[in-house]
Amino acid sequence: MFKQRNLRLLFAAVAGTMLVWACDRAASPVSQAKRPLFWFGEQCPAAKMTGGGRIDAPPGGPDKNPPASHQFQTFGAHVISNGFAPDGSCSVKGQLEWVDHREPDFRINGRPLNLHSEQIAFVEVLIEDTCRDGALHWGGRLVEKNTGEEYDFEVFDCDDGEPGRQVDGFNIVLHGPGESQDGYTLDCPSPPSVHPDNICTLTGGNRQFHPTH
Amino acid sequence: MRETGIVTNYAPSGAISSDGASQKREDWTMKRLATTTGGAWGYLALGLLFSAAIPMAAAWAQTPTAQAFGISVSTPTTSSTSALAVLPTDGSLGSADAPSVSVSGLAGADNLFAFATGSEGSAESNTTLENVNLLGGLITADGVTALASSALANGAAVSDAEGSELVNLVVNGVSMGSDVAPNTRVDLPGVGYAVLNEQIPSGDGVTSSGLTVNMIHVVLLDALTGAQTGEIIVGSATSSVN
Repeated sequence: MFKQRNLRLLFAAVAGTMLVWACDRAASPVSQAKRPLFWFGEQCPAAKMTGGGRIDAPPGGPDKNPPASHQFQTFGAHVISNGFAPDGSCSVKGQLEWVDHREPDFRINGRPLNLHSEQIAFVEVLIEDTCRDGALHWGGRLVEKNTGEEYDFEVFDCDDGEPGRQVDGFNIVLHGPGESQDGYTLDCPSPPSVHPDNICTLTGGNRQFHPTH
Repeated sequence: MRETGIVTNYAPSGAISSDGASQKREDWTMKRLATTTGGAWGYLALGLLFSAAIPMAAAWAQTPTAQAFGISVSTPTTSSTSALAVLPTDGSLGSADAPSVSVSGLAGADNLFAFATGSEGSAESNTTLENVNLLGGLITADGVTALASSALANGAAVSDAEGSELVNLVVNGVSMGSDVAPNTRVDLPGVGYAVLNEQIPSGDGVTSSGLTVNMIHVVLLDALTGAQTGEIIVGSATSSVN
């Protein structure tokens, strides 16, 4: 009787450990493709994120790269969601403007890679502990102005306080249908980035999260 | 996990049922309205009195501003601003770009981009240029980045120019490097002078803050009288909050 009860306790402990292990985040959350892996929260929240700035990637840490390296990106971006519309669709709008100044890999037709959003399709809460003022995952469709190719895109958007330099985070990922930049994203390991999951740290500028608006 | 504090209203107001309880509340409201109508004129007069002394809500609203541009030339014969981005009043994003700009032999640059964005309590702008050439090669730079950011934070208003830089700047044949101290003045004999990494702050630092960053600001002077005849600004970013 005593042994049977111990055996049950042992099974319960093993089962509990396995459950916790299964539910825990991976120790290394960055995928092999260097794309961020996250847990997401509420879909289509009534929220807003605005701002712009500069990233120096790689490595995407809080410090600027040497000026002559031309290894940096500048951007402006905002997303505004009013939550779900009565018809069940997500009422979201916004804009992304992106320039990758790296030479020579991202010179296309003599100009820096220049991305311009055409449509914002989704937004959801991004669960990331290092983004203490709030974080959003959003995206839609954009065009590569250098070539006219279109891509679906995702933004990983992180507000970690004001002012945002050296603390806030940002990264984008492109998917087809365009081909030349399919899979484009910045490589921002942590460290030096202050954020995990391949979110790059701003070397200048600010991201401002507004929980409601 | 941190609480995000996001509020989502999934139920439109029209979905609230009009059952007996809510009908009773409506009746009570009407009755109360009727019994207090007599005093309403007094409240109205008081309201008008106070509204004259209190600023409109719009005046209290935080009003960020931001703008950035690549090159601006102002002389008696030329007035031009290229790749100008201004933060729209709805607090979204302004952007502009130009593959190449040349202004009357006075200023030229390639790959100009400018962004201006912001919302309540935050404003940012940035601009980048390449292959800058001013006054027939008197001033050259491989790259120019200007960035201004303003925000309300922890009971203070702050601004900074972090992220701004000059790449391989050469002035009158002298290499200035890339790390130029703010508001560095260089005389240009026979032409005027240049202020490099010019930073002009504004605001009280408590309820308001602003910053204009002009990475290269050339002031053209009349060689005989010393009077200002024009100016050239390359790489300008401005932001402010209040």
